[in-house]
This record gives sequence, C-alpha cells and structure tokens, in this order.
Amino acid sequence: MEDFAAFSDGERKLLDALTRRGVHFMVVGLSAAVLQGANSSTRDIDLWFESLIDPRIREAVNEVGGIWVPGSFGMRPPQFGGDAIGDRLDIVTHMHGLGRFPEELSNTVEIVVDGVPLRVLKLERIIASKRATGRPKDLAAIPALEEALVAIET
Amino acid sequence: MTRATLVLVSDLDHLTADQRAWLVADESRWRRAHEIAAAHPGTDVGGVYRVLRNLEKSPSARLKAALDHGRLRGVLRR
Repeated sequence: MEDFAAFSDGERKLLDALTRRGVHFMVVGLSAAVLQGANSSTRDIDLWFESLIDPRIREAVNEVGGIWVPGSFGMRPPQFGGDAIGDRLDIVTHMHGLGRFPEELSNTVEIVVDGVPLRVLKLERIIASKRATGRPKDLAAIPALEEALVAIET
Repeated sequence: MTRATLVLVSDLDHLTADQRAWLVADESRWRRAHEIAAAHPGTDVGGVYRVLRNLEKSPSARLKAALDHGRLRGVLRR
C-alpha cells in the first residue's frame, strides 16, 4: 500500500466493514469518475446503497463507532455521522436517469482503494445520470467526464 | 485550447538523464492526447492529457488529489 491514503482511518474502516458484511453499495458521482481517471475535484464520496434498511449497515457503523441515520430525520437526509467517520461519505438515495440498483450493479467496475475493494459506477453511467439531472453544476462536469471516457476507450 | 509542443533542442542541453527521460515520456503523452482528441472532435487536448496523467496514478492517489482540491476550493469560496 502507498504511504498515503485517500480515505481517513474511519472512512476506510467503515467501507471495509460494509464490504466484509456483503452490504450492496457502489461509489457514484464525481468520486467514482475520479477513481476512473477523470480530471475533476470533489468534496464528497457519494455512496448508493441498494437498501437503507439493511441491518448490516448499522452493524458496520457501530463497529467503527459512528452514527447511522437510516431515514429522513427532522431536516436531515440519510446520513453517516460522528467524529469517527467524518462528513465526507454521502448517502445517495436515487440516481437520476439510471435503472434500479440491481440493474446498475452490472454497470460497475471493482477498484481497490486503500486496500478496500469497491464497486464503482462506470463513467458512461455517471455521465448519463449527470445529463438526466440537468442541474448546471452536473452539466458543467460532463466535459471532463467525457474526456476521461474517450481516453480510456481509445 | 491548443498547446505548443515545440521544444528548442538547445534548452535540453542542461537536463539530466532523468529529466530528459521524463520529457520524452511526456511528449509521448501529449502525442497520444492529440491522437485521441483528433479522433473525438470537440474534445479538449489538455483535458485528455490530464486524464492520461491521472491514469498513471493509483486510484487512491487520484481520489486523494480530487478530495484535497475539492475541499480546498470549498474553503476558498467561504
């Protein structure tokens, strides 16, 4: 392993705990694009879960001493929290323009990050979702993702 | 955007062997980036070059750089 890490210790432990338990999730959004070579920046690591009521998510969070808010609570969306995990792991509940989670699972690649094997949504599906979302910031990200796609495929 | 790739030979005289090797490899990256961009009209050559550089790094290194930069941009916007 390299002498630096992309994840904090808490993030890596949580992702490892989720993976060991067989929880179905994938990395999506710009962090997924960056892992595949896209020249972009991001503030968060977006995770799309097949089911937020999977009890193994809470088990994994408990293992690392974090907080798990599985559903909307007050003003907040589903969320990982607590100092042990930090604030960079975001929960995604819906991906615009894509199929259901089980269908999109076949559109992922496995990438090992800091020793943790992760399912990562393919670039072409990330682009499709950004296009479907249609928000200015999502549309603005598309050229960089398309550059990565042609560089990988050519 | 277009970038000049012309390098004066006299400018290379002071380079070490490692620096020359890096420059040769980097020239190869630029050549590849131009080939890819030419095959996909509208694609930015500089962007493709950056992707080729990124692909030489580990996934961890790519993500770390993106998060560091993204968080820094957030701080600078405040």
